[in-house]
Amino acid sequence: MDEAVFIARFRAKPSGPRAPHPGAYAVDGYACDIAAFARALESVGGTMHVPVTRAALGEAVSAFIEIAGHRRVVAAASAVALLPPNPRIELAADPGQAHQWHDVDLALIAPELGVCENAAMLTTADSLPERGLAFLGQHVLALLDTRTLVADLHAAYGVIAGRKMPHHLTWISGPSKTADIEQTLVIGAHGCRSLVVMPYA
Amino acid sequence: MTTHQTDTTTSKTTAKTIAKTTDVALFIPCYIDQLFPRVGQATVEVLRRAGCTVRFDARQTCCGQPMANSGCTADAAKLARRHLDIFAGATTVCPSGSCASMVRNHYAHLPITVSEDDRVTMRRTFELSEFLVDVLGVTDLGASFPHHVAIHQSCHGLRELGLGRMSERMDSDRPSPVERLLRGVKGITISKPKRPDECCGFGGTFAVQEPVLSVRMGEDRIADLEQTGAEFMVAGDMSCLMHLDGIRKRQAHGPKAIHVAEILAAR
Amino acid sequence: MSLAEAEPDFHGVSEAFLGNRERTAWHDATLWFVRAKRDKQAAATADWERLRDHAAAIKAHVLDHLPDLAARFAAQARARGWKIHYAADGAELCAIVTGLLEKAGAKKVVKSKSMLTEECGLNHHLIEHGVEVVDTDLGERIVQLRGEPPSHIVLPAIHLKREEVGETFHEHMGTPAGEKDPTTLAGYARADLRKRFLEADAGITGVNFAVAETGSIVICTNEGNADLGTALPKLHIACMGVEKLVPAIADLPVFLRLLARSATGQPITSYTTHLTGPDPLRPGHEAHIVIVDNGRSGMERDEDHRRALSCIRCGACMNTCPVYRRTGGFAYGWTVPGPIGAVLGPAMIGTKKAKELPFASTLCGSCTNVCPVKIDLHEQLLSWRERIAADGHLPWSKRFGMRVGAAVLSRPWLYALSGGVARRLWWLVTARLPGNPANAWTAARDLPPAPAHSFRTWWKDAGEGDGHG
Repeated sequence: MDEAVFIARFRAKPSGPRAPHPGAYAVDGYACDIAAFARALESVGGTMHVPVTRAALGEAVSAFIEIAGHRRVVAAASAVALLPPNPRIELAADPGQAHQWHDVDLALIAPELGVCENAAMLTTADSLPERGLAFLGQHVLALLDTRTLVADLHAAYGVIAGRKMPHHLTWISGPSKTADIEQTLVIGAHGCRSLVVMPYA
Repeated sequence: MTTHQTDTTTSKTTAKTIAKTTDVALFIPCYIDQLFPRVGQATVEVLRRAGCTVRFDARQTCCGQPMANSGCTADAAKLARRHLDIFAGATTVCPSGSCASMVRNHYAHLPITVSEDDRVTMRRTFELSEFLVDVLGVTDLGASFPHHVAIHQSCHGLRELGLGRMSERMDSDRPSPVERLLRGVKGITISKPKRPDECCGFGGTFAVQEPVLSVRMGEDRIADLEQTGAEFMVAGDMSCLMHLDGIRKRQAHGPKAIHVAEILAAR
Repeated sequence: MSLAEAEPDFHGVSEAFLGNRERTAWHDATLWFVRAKRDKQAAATADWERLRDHAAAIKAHVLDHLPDLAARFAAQARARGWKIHYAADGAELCAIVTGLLEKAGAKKVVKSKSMLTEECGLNHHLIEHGVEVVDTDLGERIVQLRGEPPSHIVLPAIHLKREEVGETFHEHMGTPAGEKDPTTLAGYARADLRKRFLEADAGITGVNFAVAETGSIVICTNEGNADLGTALPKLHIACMGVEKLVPAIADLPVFLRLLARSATGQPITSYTTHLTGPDPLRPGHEAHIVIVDNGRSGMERDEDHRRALSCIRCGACMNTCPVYRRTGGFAYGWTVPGPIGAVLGPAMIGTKKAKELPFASTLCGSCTNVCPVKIDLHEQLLSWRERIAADGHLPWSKRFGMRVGAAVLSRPWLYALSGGVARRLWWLVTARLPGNPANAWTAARDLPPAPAHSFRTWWKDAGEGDGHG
């Protein structure tokens, strides 16, 4: 169907004033600190790693991989940039080819910011052009700069306001999950089966 | 008719703006008139005890809710017109939240011409407990009822008149006038069911159109009220109670139904 | 035949469901649990009611500006490489999707949850055209394997017990018989569907929000299925009703903060994905949006009911509905059950077919109170009752009964006389004899005993006067 014909089927409001947009919305009252983020993360089934310094990040990630015993570990370029060279970690090359990550045990990502209200972390085509990696990896380790924390989702959208929308932008809040069988929570639906956030500053 | 919004804050604002009045026109719903006259009598007793002069206009019959809720608005409109004419200018008190809400909230949407005077009549139609508590400011009527009761919150009183805290709303902290009145009764023990404001399943013609479903809802409601250990289930609407008590009698267990006016009238 | 073509039989299907007392209790408790989770999240959100007001106001604005927003969205989306298609109805949607799949040579399709495509009968159409279409939302996958429609818009398999899911998986996926552990069962589905995601030629998704400002669509899932379904296959087709439009990116947090809290009691879904055009990093990646009317323009013109187009499909009205909880979703007989289904149904499938649905409610009003975008659901139900009566679809007995009732009640003397006669002959009125209309009441309920006198008689006899003036 032609666009003009389709749109003409809807007529907006024929008479009387049209409802105005209510304008901007703001909320305060949400704490903006690592403890608040950690509480929210726990509530959505994620796990908070103890905070590490920027300098100790590489060591902490290595230890994490060894303890968990992950075999194939693939990192987004933005995560690799935060870490010293590590032979256990494979750089996600050719970001548009997601099928190559079908057998990834651990995906390392570096989200752009975290939201204390709901533990959502921002990933976009800029920070995660390797989009499929975050969903195909059996487990996800997110390296989160604690200086990026914002209190609530309105503030979070405020950060991205004015930016040209990247091809993809995803808020990730905890691991994938389902309660479709008798409302019983199952962590690990189609996406990752666990999500650990390693905060650093 | 473009909006159907009901105003749950009406009684609060009218209580403030309408001068305290003790000259009351009784609005006795038809099923109370015919089947539960004792509830009407208790209402008279309670209002008088609260210092009111009570009038009853025998031309009144029914507010038209069954017709309106069946979609038969032209039939409902006839009865609404009569009702507004009979109660014109009065401060009306009704021992039913559902019927009071019909007049106050729904008449404006019927195919009748609602004048400014009619709107005043509608606004001045009160459910009994809200009239006593919000308009008269009375919570102690010197009643005595040494029994254990569980409160059933009737839906229309609660969600259309705002008589109590609605479990779904986060801005609703208004204490139920029924509960406030019961707290003033000597010797009474008050309980609340686990689901504070679940529907009893009456629903007017719904009760006979979907009897199996309606009865199941009622059975579940009684079970919740029964687990409090109460001897009586009390509500502000006799329609809910007629349904619940009918099930209670058939299943031969559960708390007995009693209208809040009957408790308030007890000495 | 898609559900939209059948005539709902609320009375019959609900009574059959209620026939299993234990299952009715279980269904009620399961949905009440979801309602309780919603309450907890709402209570923990200090600005909850203000947020609802704001969301309702944005939606009202959207409804008053649909043509402008649709045009703006299309222009922005095209500029970012989306291909935009328009479907007047379900049949057109099906034809467009099939055409796109054929052109791309796509035979294997993974689909994430979309009530719109359910409404339009897309799966059935695709299968007829030789397309292997797999629903990937776990609940939808379960009902797809069983050949059932979803019984809830957010929790499609909420009517099933774990044992039944185990049997279904055993039958269709060869999983061990007797398995009923939800984690194990979800694991089987995960393994099976992983393969299908990797092999798929195309991904079909719904749309939660479409942003006019940027030409972006937003898809919310907990499972990650929409993300796998769009990140892997080379073709993405998003299907949306035109009412999914919102003006700007800044409007999204208002809805996102409400949606998951209302739906499942989570602060946000696990994945909230905004997609804007095809992926520039994937050569040959195609991204299409099909914008569907299918009855929405009719609703938009209906001043009494257009507000229902604000629905964001959270399902909270189902979870709180004391009727839905005890009847299951199939009783409503078309794609969207519960209070919102009973409000959308008459608009979408007509008042004749949907004549029972607005009456499948006690008008308790709980739905109106939970709705995150403040649709006056129980008032809408009432208003549809009026429309159904006006369209001549009330049962004759009810129409006649109400007319006689109004005639009697308009005459106080006749009312008092009939009441008096009925009370004197109460044994007859309440007698459980074949054909007695009171049987619908008395089958499982007593009627109260008839009092000796009416209130009005008592008033008069007590010398109170007739009260005139």
